[in-house]
Amino acid sequence: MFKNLSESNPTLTPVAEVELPALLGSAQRGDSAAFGELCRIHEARLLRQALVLCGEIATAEDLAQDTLVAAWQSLARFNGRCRFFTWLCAILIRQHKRRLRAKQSWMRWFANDEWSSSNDTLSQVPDGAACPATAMASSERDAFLRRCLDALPEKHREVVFLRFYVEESLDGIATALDCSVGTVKSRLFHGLEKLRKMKTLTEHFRENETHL
Amino acid sequence: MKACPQHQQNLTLLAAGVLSELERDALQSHVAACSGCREYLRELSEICREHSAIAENAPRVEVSSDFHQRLVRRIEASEPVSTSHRDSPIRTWLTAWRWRIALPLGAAIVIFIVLVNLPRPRVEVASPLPIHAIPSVINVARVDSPTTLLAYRRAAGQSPEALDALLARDAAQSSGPSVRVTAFTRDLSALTD
Repeated sequence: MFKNLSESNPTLTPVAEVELPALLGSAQRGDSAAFGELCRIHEARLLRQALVLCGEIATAEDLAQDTLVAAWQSLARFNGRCRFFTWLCAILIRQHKRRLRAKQSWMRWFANDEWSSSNDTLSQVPDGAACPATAMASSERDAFLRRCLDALPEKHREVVFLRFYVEESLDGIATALDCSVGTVKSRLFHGLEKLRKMKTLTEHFRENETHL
Repeated sequence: MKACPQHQQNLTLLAAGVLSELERDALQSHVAACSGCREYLRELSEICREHSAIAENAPRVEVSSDFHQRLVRRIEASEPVSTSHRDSPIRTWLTAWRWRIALPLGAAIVIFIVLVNLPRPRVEVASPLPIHAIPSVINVARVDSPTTLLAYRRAAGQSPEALDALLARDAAQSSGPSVRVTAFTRDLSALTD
């Protein structure tokens, strides 16, 4: 059975945890130096999460920077009911979606048939690796899983990301996304169900390719 | 074999490790007996494991000093949102929906202005008569036309003398009975004779 992720939740150093409320208070009053310190505490973990989403360090750095600047601009809206890092990750996943959307619109601009497909489940299935042997390689598999995650609707992707990548509890996700726990459960169910269908369809296509 | 539809959501939550202990025990006893649900749970557990493994296996990243310096410069260049608006639901609503309201409204205003100021082609309607042939004043009432009841009423309302004058004029024009009727006539039996 899948382990309870909240038990393995990485925590900050004790010093940082003590400093955090004071720094947050100062930052919310407009102290940019205090927010800079907050960034210094979280930026390595945030950059790692960005790298998980992008798979490329240069893009991940830009994404992490955009996220922290967006967090600074909307810091007054942070109510302190969830972990600050979870709140940052909720911003991160939205920024990532925004970048993806911008990239896709450019891709559509230089149109090819790949982007003119409809929104049905089949068309959302990411490309699997052509060769089964290559597909077994972890980097390929990770890239495939990332594409699956990117193909999810935004509300489902947020919940799946915060649960499995940030390892946040249902209550924490609900607070970070400003919705009820019931909504989080429902979104998690639909998100995972879509991921399951994507995987099933991709495996089916791979089998057909192998037979051909 | 498919999973039982009524258990699918809880199976997903079980795979994600967020189901309460009470529900988990009840569901696990069902899963032990149902092969469809067991297979469904296995697939979902694998997906959950794969996705969490990506995060766990991600390499540790060293943040460059340049990264932090660039970030600090960007933060100092941008202003934070004022805390006075922190809990204002109207502002939150407007922030989220501002462009959705402004865009259609602006488009509607532009379309309205364009439609109002659109130069319309002048349609020339052919007149049945040449304009110079239409008299400036049209005398509707002709002199020899019969006097209307309204004219009698007006004259009576004005004065008995005015009514008398009107009746006299009518009598002179018409070739009717020779009995002269005046406004002062009290006995109308002469008319019936």
